[in-house]
Amino acid sequence: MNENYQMTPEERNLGQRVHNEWLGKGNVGVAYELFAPDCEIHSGHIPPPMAHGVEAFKGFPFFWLGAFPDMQIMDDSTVIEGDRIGIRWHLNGTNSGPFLGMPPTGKSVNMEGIHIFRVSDGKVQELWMEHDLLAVLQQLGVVPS
Amino acid sequence: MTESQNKQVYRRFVEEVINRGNIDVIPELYHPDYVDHTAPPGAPHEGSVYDQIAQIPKMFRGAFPDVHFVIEDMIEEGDWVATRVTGYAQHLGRPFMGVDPAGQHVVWSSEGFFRIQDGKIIEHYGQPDLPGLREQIATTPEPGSLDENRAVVTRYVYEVNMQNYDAFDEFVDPDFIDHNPIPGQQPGIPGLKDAYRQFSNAMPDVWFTFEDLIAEGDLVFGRGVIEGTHKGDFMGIPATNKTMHWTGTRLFRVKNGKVTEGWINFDLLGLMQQMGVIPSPPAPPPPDTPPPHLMGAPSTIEANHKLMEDFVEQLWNQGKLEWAEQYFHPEASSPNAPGLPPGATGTNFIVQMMRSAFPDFHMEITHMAASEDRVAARFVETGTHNGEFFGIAPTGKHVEFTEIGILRIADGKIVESWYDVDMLGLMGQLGVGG
Repeated sequence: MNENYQMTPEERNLGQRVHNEWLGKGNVGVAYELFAPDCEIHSGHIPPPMAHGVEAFKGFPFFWLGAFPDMQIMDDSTVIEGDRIGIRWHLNGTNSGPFLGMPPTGKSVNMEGIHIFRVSDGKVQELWMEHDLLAVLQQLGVVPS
Repeated sequence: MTESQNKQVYRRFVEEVINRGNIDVIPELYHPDYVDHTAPPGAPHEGSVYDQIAQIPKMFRGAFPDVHFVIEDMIEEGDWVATRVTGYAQHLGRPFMGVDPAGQHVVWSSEGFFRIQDGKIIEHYGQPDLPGLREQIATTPEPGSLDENRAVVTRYVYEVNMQNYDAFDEFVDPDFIDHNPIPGQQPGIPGLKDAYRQFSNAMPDVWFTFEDLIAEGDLVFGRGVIEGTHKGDFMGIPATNKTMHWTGTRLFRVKNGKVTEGWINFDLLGLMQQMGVIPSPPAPPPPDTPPPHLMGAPSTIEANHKLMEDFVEQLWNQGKLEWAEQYFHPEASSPNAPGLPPGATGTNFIVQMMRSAFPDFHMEITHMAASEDRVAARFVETGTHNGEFFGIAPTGKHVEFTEIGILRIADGKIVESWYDVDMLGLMGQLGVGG
């Protein structure tokens, strides 16, 4: 971490905008505004070919929005230090579209996650994603709880 | 830049509770009003808050005895610290998420939010990549691979722990050779089953936990700790009802998915001392602060073989103490001998003690296996007792005994080492204790 980095007010909003405008609404165009062109996403939940570069991952929100079109993503807690933003969030949604190749169940789900962003030059340069996919599979009844 | 107090609290939790399993420090690090918002399924709700906190590292280390977290990121604002870690472990202990242990190396990430008040953790949200972890431990190894050999040895010990000796036919070769049989042990699988039954009659709850496996070629070395309650006759010693803790290191040869040969060196002397049949000499106390977990670049398998060969020849056989000065990190530790001074000082103390008691001391490597950061070897050691040894005046007797040793290497230096010596066998040959 670069502890001495001074974020601008616009940079401090980047995490929240990633959630509200990109992940929550599926605004693919805004991805170019929020992420550096060669931004890297680190996550066990994203296929490696999709993880490198905004061009590759800009459509990722539809992985969730396709399955949960009414989904709401809400930030619960944010910490900012140096060039890092950490956000603890949760989402609610109804499974009315196909998810991971499975037909819709009509069930509502609630999932928690944490995202950590590295910011510089006005854009997100790196994003580390963790979320409780297991809880979603349990709520959909795919995996026993 | 010095780390803030709140970050230091989180770092102590990782380094002391997770990486070392020291649950005694939990009250120093956790607030009595602690709330875990993401306790894993099955987490206990009984006992004090500290007992409940302790269950999570206990469960984790029970499945992954060598678990080690590396802190990748800490972001602090107000009283919250957001964290990201990478976990490294081997699945050598108990089942996890419904998957039996099979010795896999696993790497996973985890993120968390910790709120710290008055220097203690009071709230926590966690996001470990459990599906990613489960996928790695549930992978079936390729037939004939080192991973398969690790899985066979892990299963062997797990089924022994479960006292499910009928499963032996699936992973023990009918012509299995036990190089350390108990007196009167019959050959092959029937003799092996009988030996374990005798052992579990003496200690019905006995449990062997591997803390590390090193596989190369058809050999697998496994370093472990054993715990059991002495409830029945053991080597003629009647039940003491004491719970014993001792160390043991095993070596197996694995061919075509089955163990074909086995060796073990374990701390029988320490066990006898705990049973009260052999007096315990006073041991130096462990240091107040635990030794650092030294990390560094891995080496090559060939270089690690060479290091072990030089360790034996230069240091032990020729007594060149400067070899240890050069190849032991100054803060290197021996976890099984926590009172020994760190670095070359502690090692050279033992070398000098052995070489003055047995001036013609000689050790030979009989088996060796290495990975990129570990090298394990079994030794046969000989010497003539012409000097004082643990207060025993010279007897002039010729002794021969075995040992298994493991060195961990970082940046080309030995940073940790473990030894299981047949000390009881050695003492017996000198005419004491046996």
